[in-house]
Amino acid sequence: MHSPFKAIFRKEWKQSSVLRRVAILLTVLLPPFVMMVAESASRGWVPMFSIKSYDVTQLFMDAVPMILVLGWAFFAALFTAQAFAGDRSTGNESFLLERPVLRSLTWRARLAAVTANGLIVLLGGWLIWLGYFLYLGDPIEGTYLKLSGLLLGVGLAVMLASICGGMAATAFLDSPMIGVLGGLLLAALPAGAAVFLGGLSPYAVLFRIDYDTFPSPLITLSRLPVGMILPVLLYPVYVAVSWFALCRGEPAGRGSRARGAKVLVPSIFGVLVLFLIMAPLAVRANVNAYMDNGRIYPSPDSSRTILTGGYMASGGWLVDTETGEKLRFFGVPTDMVTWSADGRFVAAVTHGNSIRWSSSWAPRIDLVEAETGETMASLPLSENEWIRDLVWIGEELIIVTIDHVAWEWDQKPDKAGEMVRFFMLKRGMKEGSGYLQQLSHDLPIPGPGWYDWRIYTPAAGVEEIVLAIAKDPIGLNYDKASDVDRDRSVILHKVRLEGNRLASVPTVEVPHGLSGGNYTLSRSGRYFWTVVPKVGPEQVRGLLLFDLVRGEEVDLGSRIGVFWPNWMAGDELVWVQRDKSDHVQLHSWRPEAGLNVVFDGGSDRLGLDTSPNGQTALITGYERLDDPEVPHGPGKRTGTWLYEAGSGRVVPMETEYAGYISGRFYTNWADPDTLLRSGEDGMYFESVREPGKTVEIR
Amino acid sequence: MSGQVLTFRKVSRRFGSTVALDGLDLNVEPGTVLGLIGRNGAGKSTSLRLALGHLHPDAGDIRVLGHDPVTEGIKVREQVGLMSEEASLYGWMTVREIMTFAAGLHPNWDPAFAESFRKRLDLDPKRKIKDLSRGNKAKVSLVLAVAVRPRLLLLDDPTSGLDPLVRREVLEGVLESVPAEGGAVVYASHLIHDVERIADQVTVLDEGKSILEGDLEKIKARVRRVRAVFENEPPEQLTLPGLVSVERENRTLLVVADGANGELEQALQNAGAVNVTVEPLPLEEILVACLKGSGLTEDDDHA
Repeated sequence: MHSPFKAIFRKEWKQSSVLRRVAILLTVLLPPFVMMVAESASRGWVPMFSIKSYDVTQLFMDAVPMILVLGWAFFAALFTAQAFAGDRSTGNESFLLERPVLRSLTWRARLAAVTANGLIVLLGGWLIWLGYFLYLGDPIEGTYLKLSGLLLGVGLAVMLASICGGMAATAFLDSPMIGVLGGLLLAALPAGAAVFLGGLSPYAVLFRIDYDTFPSPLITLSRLPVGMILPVLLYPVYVAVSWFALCRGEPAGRGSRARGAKVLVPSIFGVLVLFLIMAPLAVRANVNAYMDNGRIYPSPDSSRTILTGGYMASGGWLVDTETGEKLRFFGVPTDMVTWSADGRFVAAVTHGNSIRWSSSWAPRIDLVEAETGETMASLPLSENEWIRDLVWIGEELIIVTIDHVAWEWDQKPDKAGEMVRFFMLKRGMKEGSGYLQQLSHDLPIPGPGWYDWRIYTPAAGVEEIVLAIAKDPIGLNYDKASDVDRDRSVILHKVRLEGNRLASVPTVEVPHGLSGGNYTLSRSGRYFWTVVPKVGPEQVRGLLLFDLVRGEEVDLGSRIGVFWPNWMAGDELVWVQRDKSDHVQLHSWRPEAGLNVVFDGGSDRLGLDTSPNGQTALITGYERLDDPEVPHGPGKRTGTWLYEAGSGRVVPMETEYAGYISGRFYTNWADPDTLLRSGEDGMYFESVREPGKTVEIR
Repeated sequence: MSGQVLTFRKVSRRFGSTVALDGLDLNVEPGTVLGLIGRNGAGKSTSLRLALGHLHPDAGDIRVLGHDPVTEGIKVREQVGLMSEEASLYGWMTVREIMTFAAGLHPNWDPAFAESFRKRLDLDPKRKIKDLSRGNKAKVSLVLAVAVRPRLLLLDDPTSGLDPLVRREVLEGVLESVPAEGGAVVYASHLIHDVERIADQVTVLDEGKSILEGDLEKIKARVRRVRAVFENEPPEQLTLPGLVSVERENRTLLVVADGANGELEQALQNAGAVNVTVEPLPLEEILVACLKGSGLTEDDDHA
């Protein structure tokens, strides 16, 4: 007979029977009610709310489940408030206090009853929904299963959140009705905080899973922002608040609210403090974890390198190339890192705020002094400004090109000429701090100005920019049958700095020059290559080289199977060519020497990567580990060679580095003589002049 | 201390700036019924809640049947029954349901005794609590308190607001339910006549302090009222042995004194009294005199 837990559970169960019945009844009535409202709204009978038509099945896929979830949250809070504050509000609490029953046992029995009530209502609601849904007919086979999983999962989470919120609220409130409101408010608080903090620092994510080896849903789960995880800890804190308030200290006297507050208030502050501590660390850790797959931006004077993380961790570090020491962190995302010609300054587009985590989608340009890592100036931009490129002209000016996102997708080509804009910014010092002054903007470029254009600075310090703009960008869609008939010409414009203004003159039209993005000017700006997507009767992609001075195409002979075209010093073009039998060679074209084969790679795959000054090319042989599940997966290294510009010969590099080729398709060069290496033991620099001499990045 | 059912040693408790108990000492021995008397707010209910462990003392030490109610509340409540003025019964339960519920909570519940006691008090088991009269609610509360066969029964103004007939039934029920050996009752009330009816020990509380305590019969024998008639106006300054309180009515002094048999009469005669007569006092009069004598002279309807 003596069974306190059972007795209290049964008492709570019976005490909540009316609520339980009301909840089930409302759930039964909900679907016809929603249909009635929809029907009334479609007939215009509902003031301020009308719809043209509605689909009953659709109602059961969105409106009804949404209301059900909200209802579960409400009833969970109601059950909780009734169980934990009901006796206090009616003056019955002392009945249990007078009995030889542990308060924690009473607390547990009430929690069990509340959970059981919530589950009954949840499962009952789901069964009622399922019954209606199956009666109406599953629109796509198996939809009911997917929706059921979603409904039960979200419903359970919301129900538990409401129970936790209700428990915390009733630690402070004696009235069940106010407790319901307080409970729902407290239940929503961590969710709101999670959305806010998660949005405040979306790149401060926990965990790292190699995304090449896991299916996408797990990647999503593995990249939960710290800001979204930490507030969720408040839910167990709510339970602790209730326990400390109701099960500890003086049973019937003072201090229950104070005990609850002593748990709740420090926890809220703790979550915020933990966020402030963890978010920057997580941002950095994430960048570090993905840095072996990111970009490298070497400074022109070889003293510094900026390494950024790949994937969704594109923040970065300013690293001393000589010592490997990290000097300064760039917030996530950092993009368009551009060094001044003398290597003293670096400009970057970033969303990160002053403590280096992203606070807004509005980007800004940071100008950083390389020696100290200090931010000299920042230029905030609005969210609707899309920065397309960031380049230096001379020593003083940064040019930012912005393509306004207000461009409309159905805009006609003849009206698209005003979209390219230039902001010319002057760097200066004022009252001890730097600033970026906007000098001029809105330099219209004739012709269509949408996405298929590129900016080139032929060499650092050259005071001009070359733009390649597709003549017919709007029709660019290789999936369309009309693609082969499109005019693929590219118009090259030179933009030159004249005093404090920019001037643009169309220069050359390159026929058939468009390939969807791959075209590059030589280092002197005289030559232009592009990879044409489909040429010849076999319709395979091929390399096209154009002499801008002569205004004619350079004959390269065979030009299919081309990979990694790279400009080197002296306008030498090198690329990897693979024939039909998968035999690969390194080809070189020089203005004075013409076409040459400089290396035979056999059946290996070859990677080609040119040093920042164009003097040396790194050739990496690798055997591809073919895995259809991982199309860009790693390859096993078979050899490393170096090619000196103009030498016509390749020499092996005696390196011990045995890391895998990963997704790094950009560059491995940290300066003209130094390579960035990554392995399981970390990242380090390796000199190409003294292979094996390494400096660890700390 | 061993063998005591309930002991308070220098127990103090405050509620904010209000002193509820101020260094209270209490001893309840087995087999006794202690009447805890005092005005509203004197500290009676606080004392009982401290004994059950509902409240914790700010200072002092409490032992209930050898256990500290703060750290061993469960052991205390297993052996203590409480019947309070505001019985916290669940109105939506029937008499049967609340008895079943209470039985599940208590290891010492005596179902046979509970059932016979319910019948003895003529309680309908199917009636809902909310439909019961105040007197019947008090009876239910009494059944729940005594069905656990407590070694200590705490009664917190249990008959307040009840009609005389029900009060008599409840009090008789209390006396019936107290264990013949070793049991004890603490009866806290401001209804002096009820206390006087069943208590053999009494402690008078005022502002959290005990101002009178001891065996009820001895107190009644010890505390007397002496009426002294003087030929002229009685002297302003009098030094009287055992004086508790004094009132003047023209040429007559009404003196309440604790003890000092013979000495008081002699002192009054020496002061010029021509006629000195001694009158016995009911407990209520003793309590009033004590409160007046301690300087608390405001009228109190209950005291």
